[in-house]
Amino acid sequence: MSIETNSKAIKLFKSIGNINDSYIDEAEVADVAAKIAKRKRVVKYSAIGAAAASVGITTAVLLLRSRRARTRTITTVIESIPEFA
Amino acid sequence: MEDQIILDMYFAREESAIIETKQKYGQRLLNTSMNILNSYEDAEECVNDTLLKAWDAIPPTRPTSFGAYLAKISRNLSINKWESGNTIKRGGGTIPLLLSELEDCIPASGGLEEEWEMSFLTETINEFLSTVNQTARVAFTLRYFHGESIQSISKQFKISESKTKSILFRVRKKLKIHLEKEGII
Repeated sequence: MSIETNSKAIKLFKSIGNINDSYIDEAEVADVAAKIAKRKRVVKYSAIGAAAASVGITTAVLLLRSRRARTRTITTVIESIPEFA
Repeated sequence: MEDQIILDMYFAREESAIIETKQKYGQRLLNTSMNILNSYEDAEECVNDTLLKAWDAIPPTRPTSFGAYLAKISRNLSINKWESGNTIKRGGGTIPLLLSELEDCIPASGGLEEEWEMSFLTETINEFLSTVNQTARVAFTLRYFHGESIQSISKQFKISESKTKSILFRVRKKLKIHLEKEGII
């Protein structure tokens, strides 16, 4: 990168620091939403794990059986398992 | 705690406002500063300086978006610290990589060169960002405002790293065209 290009890139980089607050807030919400989605997945799999443990099988086995039953929601995952039928 | 309540504490000159601010925004500010400086000590110093600046400015300032207000202060302080040279010596931060990417946005020079006036640049960037879709805009903000890594952005969007790179590449190209149209060369 030439000195001139570097100088312009730095100015551009600094200018980005003054973009509209709404864009910064928007990115923040996206970040938070991703973390909430991750927490929901953790909660979902925790419930499945608890259900699996209650009948003495692993989460992996429970999910495998549910996949065979072609189910996706947590309720149908659990209900699809013979032990819970 | 709601931002308006925290801001009321600043106006009442209650020092617990600083504690509440750090609790709510400290980690986010630290992450951005760390992305830029790659030094925990320097990043923490920037966060503390941000809180001090906020305390000095509020009141009379009452930001409409407190989070964005703090993020901008912290980012500017981090860049200043990077420019001071100490962080470069320690080989820190993602700024060199981000600058090399932003080089894609710099229109080819030719003829009479306009001075890159900062406020006009910002206005142009804001105008540009209003024209792109939300995913591209958020990716651009996360990468070039917050200095987030490609890996981090990919995880947040639940897409591959190559897809993220592709999104950012297209946005940079579009920004270059936009800057050329605005006569910034």
